[in-house]
Amino acid sequence: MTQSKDFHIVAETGIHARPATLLVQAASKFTSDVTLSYQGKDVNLKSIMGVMSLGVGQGADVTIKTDGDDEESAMAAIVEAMETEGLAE
Amino acid sequence: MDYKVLAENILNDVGGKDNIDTAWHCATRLRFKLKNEKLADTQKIENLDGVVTVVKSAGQYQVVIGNAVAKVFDPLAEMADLENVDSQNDDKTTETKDNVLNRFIGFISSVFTPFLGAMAGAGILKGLLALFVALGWLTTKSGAYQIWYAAGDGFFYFLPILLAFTAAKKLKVNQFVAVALATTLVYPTLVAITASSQTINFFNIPVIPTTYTSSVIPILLAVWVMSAIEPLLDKIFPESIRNIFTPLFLLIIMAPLTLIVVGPLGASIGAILSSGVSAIYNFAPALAGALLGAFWEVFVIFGVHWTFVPVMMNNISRLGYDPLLPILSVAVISQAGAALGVFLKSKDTKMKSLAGSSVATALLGITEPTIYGVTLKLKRPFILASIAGAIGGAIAGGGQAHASSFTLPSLLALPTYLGSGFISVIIGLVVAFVLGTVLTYLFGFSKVGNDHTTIVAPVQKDGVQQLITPVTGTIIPLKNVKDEVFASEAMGQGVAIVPNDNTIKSPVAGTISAVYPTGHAIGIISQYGAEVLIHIGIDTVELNGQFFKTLVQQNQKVSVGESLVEFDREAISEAGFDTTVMLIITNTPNYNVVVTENTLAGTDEQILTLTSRQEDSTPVYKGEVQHV
Repeated sequence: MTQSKDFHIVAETGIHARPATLLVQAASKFTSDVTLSYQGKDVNLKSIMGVMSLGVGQGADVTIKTDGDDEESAMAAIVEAMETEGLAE
Repeated sequence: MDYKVLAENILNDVGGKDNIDTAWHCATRLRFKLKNEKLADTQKIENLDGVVTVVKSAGQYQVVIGNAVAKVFDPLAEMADLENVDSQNDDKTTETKDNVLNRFIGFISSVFTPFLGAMAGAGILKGLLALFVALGWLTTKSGAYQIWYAAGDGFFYFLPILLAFTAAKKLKVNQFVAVALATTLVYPTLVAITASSQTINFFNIPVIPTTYTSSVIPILLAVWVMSAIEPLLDKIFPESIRNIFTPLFLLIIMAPLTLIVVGPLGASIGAILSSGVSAIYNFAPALAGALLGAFWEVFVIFGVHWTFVPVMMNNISRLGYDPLLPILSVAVISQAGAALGVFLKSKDTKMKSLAGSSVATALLGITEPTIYGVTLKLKRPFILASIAGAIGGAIAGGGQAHASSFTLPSLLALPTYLGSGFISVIIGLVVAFVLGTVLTYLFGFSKVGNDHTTIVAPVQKDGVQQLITPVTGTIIPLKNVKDEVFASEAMGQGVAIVPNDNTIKSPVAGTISAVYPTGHAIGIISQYGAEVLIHIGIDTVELNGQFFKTLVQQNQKVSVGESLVEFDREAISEAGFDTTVMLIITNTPNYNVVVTENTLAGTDEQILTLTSRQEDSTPVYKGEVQHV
């Protein structure tokens, strides 16, 4: 069962290099596929360049999906990363 | 809001001063390195009035405050006895390297920067009016002229007030007290006393009448002195009355101090200059012309040029002509020439439009936007304009050009120069203008943008990719970058360059994969699959696009050496940011990344070599990159 969660980006600089790196690091610890969707485009959350290519800014609504054996813990790690970085609510 | 109380609360809630290893601040955040983050009560801090949020990142405990961060930081630093505070501002290091003159010029242009657009607008209005009068479309007596003239000239007449505001902000003193001080200098009663050349006394100290309207240096010096006195007064008065008593005593002290010492100091320097130049003219007109042509705009900056006015007036009434005025027009026109050079050369849209409009205003005699917005800001064009002015001035001076009446120097004053030596003014003007343009175009400032030299595409030999440097400058190891995320190679391996140029070029042939709206970072996927991220400066995301100009679009194909981004290196470091450019391979696990052993990166020099670790070097992200 795929996990899916919506985030509203509050960080004033959006998902930029630093937060992108932390999200990618969080996602990369897991074997599940992790996808970030924004404005109808999906990218692999394990790729910094992929995440940055979306240019997610402040106020954006994004959806993150995890799919695989450890999808629940992957999602939990991403939620935690989002929160500790003050990225999203 | 009482920032002191806020600072105290934050200090307590991060675990007291003993828990702080180091603390500094950037544009919006207090940044702590705490000995033990667990001792900090994040929730409590986040709930404090004045705190936006808390961010824990890269080993830093960051308290987001907003623009008022310095006001919180200062008392906090005091309470926590932070002695060697690392300021994120690299200003300190860069400033010590710069000499005093450069810092002074930097300060002057930074206080003008906030209102350059408005100043250019007012200047154009003034220029248009002068033109309309010259063409006979308006008379100076008409109501329309007078209203528009007031609108255009008001800005320049009351320039000290505007400068007080920006200088006070820059020097962190009470802006409104600074403005009050400036209004004192241009207060109608005092202006009238100066105009009638009366002398007044401050108790028994004579106050030498000095013109402050349109002046620049007196108020800047005054605000600077104020920045030394204000903290002392703040210390003397208890907090409950400080709000009123500090301004009160600042005004009591600063107004006479400025009027008695600061202003007349400039005036007496000016008097020496004007009599000196007149004396030189009598035996060597060409030399006087060269000196005046070179230094007139410097005199204008220091506000000592007013002392020349009585000398010229006196010449006209005594001799029927003045030989200095034509030379001044030459000096003014040389600045217009330099601005045209900047206009032709600059690829920066903002600078281009400012330079373009300031050519027209300078030709019409309004040089403030030209000097403060363009030539002095870039420094070298100002010097080149002075050289052009010296040569043109020598021609006009040597040709014994005369002005038959007093008109402010500009092209519009030409009719008053008719008569003996007229041809030498014309030649002097043309030489100054053309030379100003050409010198600036050739040597004005380090080349910005666009030379599309053809470079051979990087070789893919046995899975090897070569990357050229995105910018010229000094190569430093990524681990020396003052940002944990980059230095730790969390984003990937790569290299950093301390730039000495303002254009980022593509290190590879490929496709633009990420264009960040703020322009400070750009991603490229090379034709062989390397994900290349170029990040310009540290924390420059906070600039929100200011000083950056992206020249390419997402999904655009680029070739090696193609210009991608232009950035204003000087302005960025002036704003307090580190301008180091990071070149990162974000899919590092696919490669062995080898950095060049050179320490300097010249134009298009090779900087990174990537060797594939696996056959398949396709990008690891899924989905199509689309334009956003």
